Amino acid sequence: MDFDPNEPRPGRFREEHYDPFRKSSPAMQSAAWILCILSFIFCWICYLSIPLGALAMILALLSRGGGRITRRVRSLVIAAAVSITLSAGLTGYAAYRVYTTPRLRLLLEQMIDQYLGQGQDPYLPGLSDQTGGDFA
Amino acid sequence: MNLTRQELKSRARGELTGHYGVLILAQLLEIMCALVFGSFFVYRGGGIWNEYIALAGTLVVCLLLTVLRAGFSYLYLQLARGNQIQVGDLFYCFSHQPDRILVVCLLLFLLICLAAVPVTLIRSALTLLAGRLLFPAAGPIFIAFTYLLRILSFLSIYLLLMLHYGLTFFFCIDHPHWKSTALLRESRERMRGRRFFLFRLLLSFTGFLLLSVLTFGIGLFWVRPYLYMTLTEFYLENE
Repeated sequence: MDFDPNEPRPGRFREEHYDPFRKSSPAMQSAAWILCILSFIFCWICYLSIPLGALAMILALLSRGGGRITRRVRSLVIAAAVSITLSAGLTGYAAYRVYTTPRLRLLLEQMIDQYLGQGQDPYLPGLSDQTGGDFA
Repeated sequence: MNLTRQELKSRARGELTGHYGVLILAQLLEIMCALVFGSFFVYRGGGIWNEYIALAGTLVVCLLLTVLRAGFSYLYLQLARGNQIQVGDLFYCFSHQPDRILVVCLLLFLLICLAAVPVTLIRSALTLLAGRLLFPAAGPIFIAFTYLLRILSFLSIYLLLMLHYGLTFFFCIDHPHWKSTALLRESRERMRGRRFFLFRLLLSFTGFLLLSVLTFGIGLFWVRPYLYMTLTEFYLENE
């Protein structure tokens, strides 16, 4: 190993006046707030609200830089956690309601049938008669 | 070693502040390179020779991408030392002895293969035992169990290598005159006695990684730099 510890290497040593501990990012905090608010607004769409809330939480935690968690960051993290919980709760409640209410469950089954190609559209058999194709 | 895990992470966050833009751009560039060059060698049928060509091409692309990824180590090292960085620094390793990185990569691949033998044997034995004793019906729970075993075996190999050779690329950049085997040896030596510390350091990112999963991977654009910068700080403290 012919390594000389005194040999010059590019960018080898830290700059003397560089203090990473004090940096924080207000821009990231603002972005986190916006994401958090969007997460609340779209809390009834879980696949939009949960990612937005989670991203808000990540940005909030990273925005403090080298410092401690401030009150502002803590409130942001709590707000994001609440929006994620709210969204998950709403989705869970909606799923529970659909599966326990016979009318809603029937609607869901009809939607699944239509999605899978076994549609309940009354016009489709007529269309099959006219065109000779099997649309139903 | 004076800094604790929290101090290392705090230092990493501080140094990353204001530089996420460049790092996110660099990651996007890496993804684009992987997609573009990877798409050239997708097997589209048409005989065994086409399959071999696709395999060889994929291997070449993987090696090139490893050299590109080693450029991230340079980026983070520059940032940790308070220097300015730019997206072009990602290609630093292509112009500074890429052959050493390729050899390190091939040696690491061999080590992965060696580590995979006992892990695969243990996994197969566990799958066989579970199939006989726990889930004789071989239902969906058994399939989930086998997938869990696969994930665990992959993680154990990754951790094993990371805890031994995680600093190799940093040494590669800082010591341009060292041979590839010397780099691996030095990384292993330097990690002696620090593996459990690094293991706990990596484990402390679980929360962030779970949050990234919730964002469908978008959060990784911020979490990955954080993780690698902390690893860079760990390297600098052990230098």
